[in-house]
Amino acid sequence: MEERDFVVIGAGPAGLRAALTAARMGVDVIVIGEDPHHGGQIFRSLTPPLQTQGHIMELQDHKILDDLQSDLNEVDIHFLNKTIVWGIFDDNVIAFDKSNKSLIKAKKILIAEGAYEGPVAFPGWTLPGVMTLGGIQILLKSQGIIPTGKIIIAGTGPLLFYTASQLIEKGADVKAVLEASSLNQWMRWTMHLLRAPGILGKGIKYLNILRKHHVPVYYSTVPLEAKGSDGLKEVVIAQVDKQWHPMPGTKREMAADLLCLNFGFIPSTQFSHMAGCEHTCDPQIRGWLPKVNSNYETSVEGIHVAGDCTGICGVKKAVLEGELVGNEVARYLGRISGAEADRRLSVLQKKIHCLSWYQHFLRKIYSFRPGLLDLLTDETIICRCEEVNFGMISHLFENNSCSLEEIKLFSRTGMGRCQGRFCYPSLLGIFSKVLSENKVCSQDFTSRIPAKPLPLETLFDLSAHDKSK
Amino acid sequence: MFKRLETVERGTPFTIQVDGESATAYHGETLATVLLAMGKIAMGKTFQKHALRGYYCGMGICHECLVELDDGTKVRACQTLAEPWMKIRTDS
Repeated sequence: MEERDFVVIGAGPAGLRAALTAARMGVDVIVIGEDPHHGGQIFRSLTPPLQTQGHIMELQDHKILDDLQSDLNEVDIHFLNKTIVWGIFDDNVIAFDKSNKSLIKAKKILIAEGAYEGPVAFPGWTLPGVMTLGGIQILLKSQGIIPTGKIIIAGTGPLLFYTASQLIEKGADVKAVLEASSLNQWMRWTMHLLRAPGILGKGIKYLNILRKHHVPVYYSTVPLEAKGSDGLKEVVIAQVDKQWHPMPGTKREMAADLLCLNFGFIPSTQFSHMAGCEHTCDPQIRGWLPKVNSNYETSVEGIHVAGDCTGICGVKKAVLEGELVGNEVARYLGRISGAEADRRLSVLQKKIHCLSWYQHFLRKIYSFRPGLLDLLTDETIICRCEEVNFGMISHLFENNSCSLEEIKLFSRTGMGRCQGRFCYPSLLGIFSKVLSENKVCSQDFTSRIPAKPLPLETLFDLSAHDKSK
Repeated sequence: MFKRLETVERGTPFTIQVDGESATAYHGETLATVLLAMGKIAMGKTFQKHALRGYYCGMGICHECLVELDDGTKVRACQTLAEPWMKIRTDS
């Protein structure tokens, strides 16, 4: 088996910065990423050979990307693109789907697997035409296509306004933006942003674009139901109270071809769970966070984490965390003196500390409100892959007081192709409500190999490869 | 349903077969893009209830956009680049 000094999983901002930092100090680095490009979901750009003059649109924080790209030109890093990591085993062994060499043992591993959009289940959310806001962004940024039909954007947080204004400027027909939080709530949040005038300024700019194009923003409003037979035709919307409970008598219908949703993000912890790292449950974000020490090392020796998978923190903090881990890896491998590493560590820790307010701010905005559970009917699908509905799950919860792991075993929830990524957060929300608001879940789904569905050939190749050794 | 932005240069078009129909594609486009641009929003059916599903997360984790290639393998439309030899089905 091949042995390497430092393996980075994830080629987003945190992973790239960690790799660059370590490589500059002479560490032998390999970066494994699933996409053909570098930069992660946030810095998606047109997939070559598709091209355009300049950027397809104004990228947020593009300076960070420009810096990463110019640094990448100077340093020699081994990249494995379009490569799926499907397992992490004992002794820091990583398995991935390349047939010629598919196992690596690493002295140090950085898991920088980012985050994904938190699912909110409601009747009709599985209909074609209902998609994540990130999904529509990817079509725009990496494929250069825009919807021609009527679009409704719903959820909570700044990404709604950002994406709506991007779509409008490209000529798309956005009918409405539904923001679940109230306008008063937004006024209070905006006060926090006085310390980041840049972000505030952008927010005002996006709102102005919406106003100029007469796109209404409905605050305290959520989608209740998506309707249609072979695709979305109509969205039922309603006003909600502070905890996002729908208010009686406020329902109305809007015609729509696309419903794009974002109710916040869930840190991806598939690999840190698989590696056996300790985690704590954060019911507010309906997810888990790996426990780390001040060097962002997990409870498993040699495995670090950085970026959004440690808690949704934004790109600026992600690159600093990556740099910190790169520095610690160089120290561990003796490529930098202890004194120099300490000096860098303390500078980085201070910078990270200065940004922690933004992480708290995002956590507040994206906190799950129990009112959304009122949208569930017995027929509402919770687990998209195995088609398990809320009726079945609530029956198991109520009659057998099942744990989450038992729910999985009895109902197959979370056993499908997405490996629980799009049902687990809903389940955790239901679980906290059924038990009590304060009781914290102590056990996550067990994360098993393969982390993503894999052709059987990959495993056959692997066994042939091992025998030949 | 979706249209290609004119400001993007796409090179020479080629065709792929989608449910027996010819569809225009360009190098660099994913199967999801080709399907959405030809107006197909549903990309496959679920195993048990045969419910229609389509493009959802766009980043390769939900597996809702699986389409079938003519050798029977299923691939994620959002992660798979269109190639001139491809024949895909969205009705399975």
